[in-house]
Amino acid sequence: MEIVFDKVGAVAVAAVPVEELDASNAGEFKRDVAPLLEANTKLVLDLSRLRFVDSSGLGAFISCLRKLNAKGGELKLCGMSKQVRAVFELVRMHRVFDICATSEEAVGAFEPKAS
Amino acid sequence: MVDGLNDATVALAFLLVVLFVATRWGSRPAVVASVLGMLCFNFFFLPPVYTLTIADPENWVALVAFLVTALVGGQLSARAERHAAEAEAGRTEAMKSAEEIRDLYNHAPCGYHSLDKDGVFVRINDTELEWLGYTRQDVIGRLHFADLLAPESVKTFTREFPRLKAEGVVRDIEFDLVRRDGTILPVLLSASAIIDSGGRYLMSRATVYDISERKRAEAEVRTSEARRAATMQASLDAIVAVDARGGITEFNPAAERMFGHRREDVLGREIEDVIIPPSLRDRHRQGLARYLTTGVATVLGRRVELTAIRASGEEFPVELAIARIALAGPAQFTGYIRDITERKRAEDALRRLNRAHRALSSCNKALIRITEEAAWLDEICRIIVDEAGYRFCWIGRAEHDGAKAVTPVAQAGVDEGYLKTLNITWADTERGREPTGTSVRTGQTQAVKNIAADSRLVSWGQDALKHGYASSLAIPIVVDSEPFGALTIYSAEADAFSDEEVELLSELTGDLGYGIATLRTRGERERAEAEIRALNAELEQRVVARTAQLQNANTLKDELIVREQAAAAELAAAREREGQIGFRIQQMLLLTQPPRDLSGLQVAALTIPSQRIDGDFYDFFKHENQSLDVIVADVMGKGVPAGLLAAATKTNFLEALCHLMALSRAGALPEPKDIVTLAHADMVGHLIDLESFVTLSYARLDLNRQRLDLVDCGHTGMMVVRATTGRCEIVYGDNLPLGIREGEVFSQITVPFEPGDLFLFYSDGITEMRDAAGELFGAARLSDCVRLNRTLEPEALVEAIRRAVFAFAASDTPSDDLTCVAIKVGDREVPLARAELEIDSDVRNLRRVREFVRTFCRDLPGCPLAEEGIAELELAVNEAASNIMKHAYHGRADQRIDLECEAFPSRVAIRLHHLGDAFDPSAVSPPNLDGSRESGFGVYFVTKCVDEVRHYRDERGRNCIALAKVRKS
Repeated sequence: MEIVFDKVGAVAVAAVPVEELDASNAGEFKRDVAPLLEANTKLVLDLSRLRFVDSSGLGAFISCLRKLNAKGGELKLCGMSKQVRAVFELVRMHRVFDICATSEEAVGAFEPKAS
Repeated sequence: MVDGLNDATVALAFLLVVLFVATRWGSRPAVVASVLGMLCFNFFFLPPVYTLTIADPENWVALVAFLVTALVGGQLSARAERHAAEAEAGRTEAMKSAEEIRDLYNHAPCGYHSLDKDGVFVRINDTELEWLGYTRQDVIGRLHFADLLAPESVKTFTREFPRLKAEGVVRDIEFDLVRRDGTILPVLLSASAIIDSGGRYLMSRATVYDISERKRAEAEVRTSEARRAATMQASLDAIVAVDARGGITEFNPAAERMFGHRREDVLGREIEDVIIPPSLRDRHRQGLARYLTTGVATVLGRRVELTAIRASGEEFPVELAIARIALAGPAQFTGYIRDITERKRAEDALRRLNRAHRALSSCNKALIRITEEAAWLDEICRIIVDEAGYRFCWIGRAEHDGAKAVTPVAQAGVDEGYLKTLNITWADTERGREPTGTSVRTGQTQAVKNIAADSRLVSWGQDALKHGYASSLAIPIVVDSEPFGALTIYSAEADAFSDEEVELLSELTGDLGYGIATLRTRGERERAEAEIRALNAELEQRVVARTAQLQNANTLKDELIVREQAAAAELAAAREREGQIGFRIQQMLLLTQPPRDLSGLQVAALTIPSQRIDGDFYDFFKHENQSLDVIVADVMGKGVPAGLLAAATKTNFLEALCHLMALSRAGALPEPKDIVTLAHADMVGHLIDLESFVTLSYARLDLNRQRLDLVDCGHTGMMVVRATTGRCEIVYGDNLPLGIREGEVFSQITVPFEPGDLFLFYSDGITEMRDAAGELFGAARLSDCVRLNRTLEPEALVEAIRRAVFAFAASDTPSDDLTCVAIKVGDREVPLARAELEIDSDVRNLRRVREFVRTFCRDLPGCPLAEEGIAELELAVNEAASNIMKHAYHGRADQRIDLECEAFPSRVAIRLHHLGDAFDPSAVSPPNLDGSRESGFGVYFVTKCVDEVRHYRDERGRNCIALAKVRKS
């Protein structure tokens, strides 16, 4: 899948380009987001399009978080629908991830450390 | 001489008379008149008068002149008169023919008319006037020809009329004339122009033919042509028409779809090159030639089943009816062709299933007869090939040595050296990946549905295909919990081995393993017994022979006694082992798991085997229309033979049910009494030969009709506890046990039931338990126990019965099997809605799974679940399906998962069925919720999102994950 992203200062803002992330495409997402994780340390994933995520999809996000954390980077998620948020909350991942309402808010949340 | 008259005057008078005669009577009388006139003139007037002599020569001249003048005048006058008469006759004739022509003109069978230079009528005949319904006054000089034409024809007229005037003639032009009453008269018109001497057009002369009949006939031909074409287009059957030489003249859209050829590509080609497989072409040519020369047809007018070929080269079965088109001229044929691949496949599957049933039944019977392990293995192979009709089958023994070879020990069917080329191992190496080795190593059945299409089999697949094996099935054989080897079966048909077939063959393989174990035990026991006999004989002989030397022989005797004791211990151990085998036979073959996913019925069963199995068994058949069949039976006799007889009986019942179901119309269930009668007819001969009999209860609980039909064949009866009164009664039938009398017909009784009612089936082992004083437990104590515990769930009730029986007997080692089955009718819960989905185990189908759940829930009238509830259920089902795909099927995408959704007023239940590895919930570790693990959430999601999760194996051998989500108030 093609993952489009913007640079806002030092922060890359990428949109998850699918409505459903499950066992059939989570692997593909992990593969295609990998270059972004290598090229950036500050990344915002915008989940506005996403309507459904299952355990495989959730695993893919955890994988992103761990790869960025491993090299001292940070990941923030934004634009979560109610249903997607419910899945995160079910396994308490809303405590593990930084979750913002909008991408602007997420980019803004990086700035104290950026300066 | 007369005075006053001169001769000339007299002569003239005579001449006048002659002329009168000539004009009046013609020329001959005129000549006579001339001669008479001359004689009179001479006699009366020429001197000498009154004589015929003439004195004066001058008077001779006068006389001759008179005669000549009279003759000539007479002739001339007569001729003139004749000409006048002829002219009169000619005129009359002419008038007559003019009248005839007018009549012909007016009454000819065609119309005539003439138009002036402006196209106005100047003449028209009566026929045409009559056609049009006008009078001559209406038309002549008043109407223009175009006034009588339909609009389309006016154009033709404006084009053709100038051409007539210019060229002088037009032929065969079609016009639509409009009659006075407005109706249309189609005509064909030819006209020529009448032109004056100066070349100017005077008028037309047109002939008009009525062609309405011809038009109608043409229209009819067009309609029937169109109807035929429409039929061809719309037909679901392929329709192919050919001419006498076999050239294709028609190929409808259904034929295009069926054969994969386009119509325009095949028209005119020979039919045998297009849809007849090469192997049948000669037969087709001969048949066609014979029909054309002798008129004898083999396929004409009948339905025949043949093989056809598609453009892709694939051959497939068709049903064909050929009709000869009834037309004069050379023969033409129309073929109506139907693809019966699906029907054939279903028939084949049923046939194979029946064969597998037969094989299973034969194996059970064979085990009673056979005493040698090698003979047993050979017999199994023979049955699988001869009776079940597979192409080849072999049994391999797994060697527990370093190489872990699989050695062929028995085989049957078409081999042609195939086995020698194999070099099978069950070691976990590359070569051990082949299906037989894999099945031994993993203990899992390995089915290869299509050897040609399976990429795993590169090395040996080609070889198998050469031997005519299209599909294979390798089933592990387990003896005493140890891998013994594998049974590998090859079919000549691809896609053999349906799920039911695999199930039956697995059961058969189970029998095979127990057979081996049984024969080994039997052998050990016989050896031990023989040794005891030999030792006893030896002992006796020595004791007798050496009485005198007793004092010296004491040590020897002690030694022999020790050996005898050891042999006796061995015999006891062999008996113990036989008991264990019996127990396993009973658990695996005889005691089916009670069905657990029945809505409206709760079923529980209790079995406590005695030291020596005595052939109790029960079985359940769940039917689709809310009914359940229960069989509880007790075979006379003890030990392994009774157990095997019980297995054979059970198979007979399954066979009878399958047989009657296959015969039944519209899926109606066969009646229990008919099932029992048929099963009995099949087995009574064997039972009588073996001097054994079977008591049995066959009951069908029908939830739709709220009734139980019971065929009781000398069994212990059935207890019924009524929810409304709390009373307990025992129902008996009046049939004989099975195996007493040939030709027995069984009857059934009907017991209505209501929600909360309880049924208990039990063996006499329970009622015949004795206490220390030798008193029987009895039906009355059992009935009290059931009545007191009637409010318990069936599981708890049978446990209560067990405790009561053992407390009474003060023992836990019964001498007979204790068996009972309790069934409680639940509050009848009818699903509000139900839906099913069948998918392949491909992760790309997860989306379909979620849509299926969502659509099912949203479409429910008064959905029990709110939006969040639906989302949670969707996630749970997604995770369960995902786990089946990844773990139960190990990522294989071509396996099957069946989903069933049912909605009840207060909950939604979903079951996922699969044939992959069973899931063990206890083996799953709890998830890591700190973000340190990327996976392991699936099961946690499932348990968090729904209210009930159950894992079980259903009565069809499928693994099932049952989820239920309850409405939150």
